[in-house]
Order: sequence, then structure tokens, then C-alpha cells
Amino acid sequence: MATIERESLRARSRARNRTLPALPRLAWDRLVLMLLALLVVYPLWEIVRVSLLDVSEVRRPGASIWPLDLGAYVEAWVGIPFPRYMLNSLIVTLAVTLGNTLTAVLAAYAFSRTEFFGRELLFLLVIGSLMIPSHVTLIPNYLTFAGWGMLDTHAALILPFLASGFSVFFLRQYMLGIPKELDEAARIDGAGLWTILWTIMVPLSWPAISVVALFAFMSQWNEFIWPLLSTSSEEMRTIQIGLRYLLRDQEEGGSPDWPLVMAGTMIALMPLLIAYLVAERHLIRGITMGSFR
Amino acid sequence: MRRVLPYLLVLPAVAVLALFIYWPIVYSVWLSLHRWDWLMPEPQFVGLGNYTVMLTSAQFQNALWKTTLFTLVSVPPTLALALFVAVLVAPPSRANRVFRSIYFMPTVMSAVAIGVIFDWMMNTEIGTFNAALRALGLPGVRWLTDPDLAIYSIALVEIWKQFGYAVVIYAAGLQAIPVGLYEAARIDGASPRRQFWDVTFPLVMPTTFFLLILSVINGFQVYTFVEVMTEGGPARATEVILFYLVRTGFEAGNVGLGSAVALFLFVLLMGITALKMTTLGRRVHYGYD
Repeated sequence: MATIERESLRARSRARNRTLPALPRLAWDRLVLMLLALLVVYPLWEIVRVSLLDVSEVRRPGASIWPLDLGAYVEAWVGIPFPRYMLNSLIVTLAVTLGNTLTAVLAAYAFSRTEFFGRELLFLLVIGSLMIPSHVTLIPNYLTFAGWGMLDTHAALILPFLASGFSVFFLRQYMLGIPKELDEAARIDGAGLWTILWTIMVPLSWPAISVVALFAFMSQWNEFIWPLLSTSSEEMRTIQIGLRYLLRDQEEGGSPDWPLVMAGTMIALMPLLIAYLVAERHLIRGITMGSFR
Repeated sequence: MRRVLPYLLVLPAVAVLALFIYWPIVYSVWLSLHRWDWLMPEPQFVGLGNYTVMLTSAQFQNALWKTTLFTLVSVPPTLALALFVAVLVAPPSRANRVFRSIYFMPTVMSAVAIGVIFDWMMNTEIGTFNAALRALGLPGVRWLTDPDLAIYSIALVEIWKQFGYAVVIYAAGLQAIPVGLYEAARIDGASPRRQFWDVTFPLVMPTTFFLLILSVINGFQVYTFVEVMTEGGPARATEVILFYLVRTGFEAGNVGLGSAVALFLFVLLMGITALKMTTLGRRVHYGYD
């Protein structure tokens, strides 16, 4: 192992020596890429920096963040109902992630492994939903929930997202790729459709299921327009809505308490940034696949 | 049981989609043909009245124009920058992988959070942008409060958020180009510039087309940045279609007119989506490589 590494190191340094004249161009490329990376990361640093300032220091350009002042985070957690927003976001996001993945597993299994009258039509209905932009559903769904007397509830935030064409489509494609011989064999051994689903299909589809679940989690955590419109009380706000009001309410009364707003932003971003660090590869796959939503 | 089970399995998904995605379209059509607001107990049939009101409304025309402008100034720069960067970061290496994941990061961030950060950075008095300009001896700019500038400032935020996604998709598209073509071009004496324009650019066209359609669809549905950063202002300078929809349909409670606006945008996007469907096969292929 060590020798191989040394070998490849030597090979690399040899290659570097050979391409020495081209080095300035290479460095120029890297410089542009690094500058762009800096432009992407800088706003994140800005959140951290401002969140650690004292309100009185915000207007001072060279304000130092030392000594660390975590007052804004304490204020966000104690002074305003951020824990409540966080709880709402968690309830809604987890319910949607579980529900959306489950409905997708069931439907994808039926679409990929069973024959029934109307299958093609129903599947067309499922993928057709990918073409429908969500804004058309806003007013009717609002009226539907108003009619049920269920506006401003967790149910209103959860129900419309319990199935998505993307999840069903993605899982069905994956399940079609699993060899039919595996469930044929199980069927000969006497296993029913239901048993085959849970003992064979689900374990084998795990990579696709995790992409679907991650993707559902992410888009739900960031969901904005529906919770903004369908909730009215402060107790029902998700974290995105809470953050929006935190900025807006204060803006109307003058200048926002920027350290507090930035602490809130950091809290709202944290779960996804952590998820991104941990499962970046899967997230990228989920999103690039989700692009035909 | 064997006969019923498949239906039971698809039922939950189909029921949710039918109730919250398909029924709303039917309902919207019905609503758009009626006049109904919070003051009227009974909807009143007005035929195409709402559509006439919408199309002749100066506010709607403004919204349509502002949305188009936003899309025009945000999409092409995003794609151009992304293709340029993708060419640099497509070759597999550890450093390139790190670059790609940094660029991609804004894609997972909530639009509200991004709106809040840029609202701060574009603040006229104390924002980072103007602090930088002043440090260079230039006068500050009213990024979000100047009616002539605000929509461009929001487009800049859109570019910041979307370019990493386009880089990743482009990088996947670039890797599908056969290496042999570049070798052949090199043997024929083509400079890197010629190789880009004569090999890379035409061969990555399907990806460009896909990204273009997708970004235009996204651009026409811009809402959150506007909601968070400018609330459609100053003086309706950033009032995009969705913002207008929410203002008429929800704040003014005119659900008939709001539904007409929603259906108008829907039909517009369907037209664009129809183009997108022609590339579906290619796209599905990306995720599995």
C-alpha cells in the first residue's frame, strides 16, 4: 500500500515537472475557481459573523466577533418561539418524509411488479403530476382546507405533500431494474405479494428509497409558500415562516435586530447544512434526479 | 386478494395526487369563471370576465414583464458561468470534487435564508456590498430600494443560488462526451478554445437545452426572494406573477381573478414543459451513472 502511494506520488511529481510550462495557466484556472468558491461561501460566513455581534456593533464596519457573544442565539431560543417553529418544522418534515416515501414504495411496487386493469392510465396520472406547477394548487387547496375547517393545522401542512410523482417514478424505475427472478423464486416458495415487498423489494431498493426520503426531507424543510399561506397563528409557523416574520416584523418597526435574524437564519439552515456535509453525494443525486419535477 | 392488492397499493399515492394536484386544476377552472371574494357569500358566474380583467390590468402586465425580465437577466448568465466553470471542474480529481460540492451548496439552502442573507448584504446603509464599494472609494448603491435596480439585484441572488446546480448537471453532461473527439481535435491542431467551441459546446447542447427550459420554468415561478427581500416593491418594481397572484387571490381575497392568473401561468409553463418532455429520456439517464 505504502509503496503504491509512493510510486503514484513519484509519478505525479514527474508529471508535474513535465507540464511545468503549462503551470501558470493551470494556476489561473484554479484562482478563478477559488474566487467563485469564496463568493459562494462568503454569505455563510457573513451569517456567522453578524450573528455573533452585539446589536450596537452591527453598524461598525470593522466590528470584531471576539469575545464570542452567543447572546443572539440565546435570544432566538428563549426570547422568540424558535423552539416552537423548529418543532413544527420537525413534525411536518418527518411526517411528510415518512408518508411520502411510504406511499411511493407501495405505489412503485404495484406499478413495477403487478398487472392490473388501468395500470398504464394511473401511472400516466402519477408522472403527469410532475408537469403541474404547484402554484395552481394554492388557491383551491386553501379553499379545500378552509372548507374542512382545517386551515392553520399540522394536517394542512402535511397532507398535500404525502405523495409525489417524483418519488413514485424514481422508485418504480429503480424497482424495474431489480431482477424479476428474485421475487419469482420467493413466490415459488409460497411468499405473497405483501411479503415479497417487505422482504425482497424494500431491502434491495434501499439506495433509491434513501434518495427519495432525503429529497422529501430537504424540499419539505425548505417549503415556504404553502405554510406561509395556510397558517395564520404564530404557533403553527414552521421555521422558514418564523424566520420571514422575524425579518419582516422588525423591518416595519425600523431596522431589524440583525444578530438575532442571523442567529435564526443559522438555526434554520443548520439541519440541511449538516445533512449536506454527511450525505452530500446522495443529496446531489436526489436533486439532480428531482430536476424533472 | 391478488386482484385487489395492486389497487390498494397505489391508492394512497393516487388519492393524494388526485385530491391535491388534479382536483385543484378543475376547481381553478371553475373558480376562474366566477367572481367570488370574501365579501360575497355566493360565487357569481362571470364567464371569461376574470381573464378580461387580468389581461387588461396594468398591474398584471407589469407582473408579466417583471417576471420575464427577471428570467431574461438571470438565466443566460447562470448557464454561461456554469458551463465555463463546469469545463474547469469536470475532470475527476479530488480538488474538483470539493469545488463542485461547494458550488452546489446553495441548492440545499432555503430560499428564505438566502433572501435574508442578501437582504442584509444588499442593505443600503450597512450592507456588505456597499461597504465593499465604499472601501473602493465608490458611492453606495440602493440595491433593493432603487426601482430601476431591485429586479436585477434579485436576479443576482438567483444566479448565486442556481449556478452550482447548473455546474453539476453540466459536469455530468461533459463527462458523456467521448474523449476520442478531443484527441482527434488535438491531432488536427485545434486550440483549447477551438475544442470548446467545436466539440464541447455543440455536444453539450442537450444539457444546455434541458437547463434552459428548467431555469426558465423556475424563473417564472420566482416568489420567495421577492417576498423576503422587497415584498414586490419598491413601487411594484419587483412584483412578479406569483406575487401578484398571492396579492389578488389571498390578500385581496379575489379568488376568481387569482385562479385566472394561476391558470394563465400554468398554460404558459405547460407550453415550456412540453418542450422539456422531449428531453426526458436523456435526463433520467443522468442519475444512474
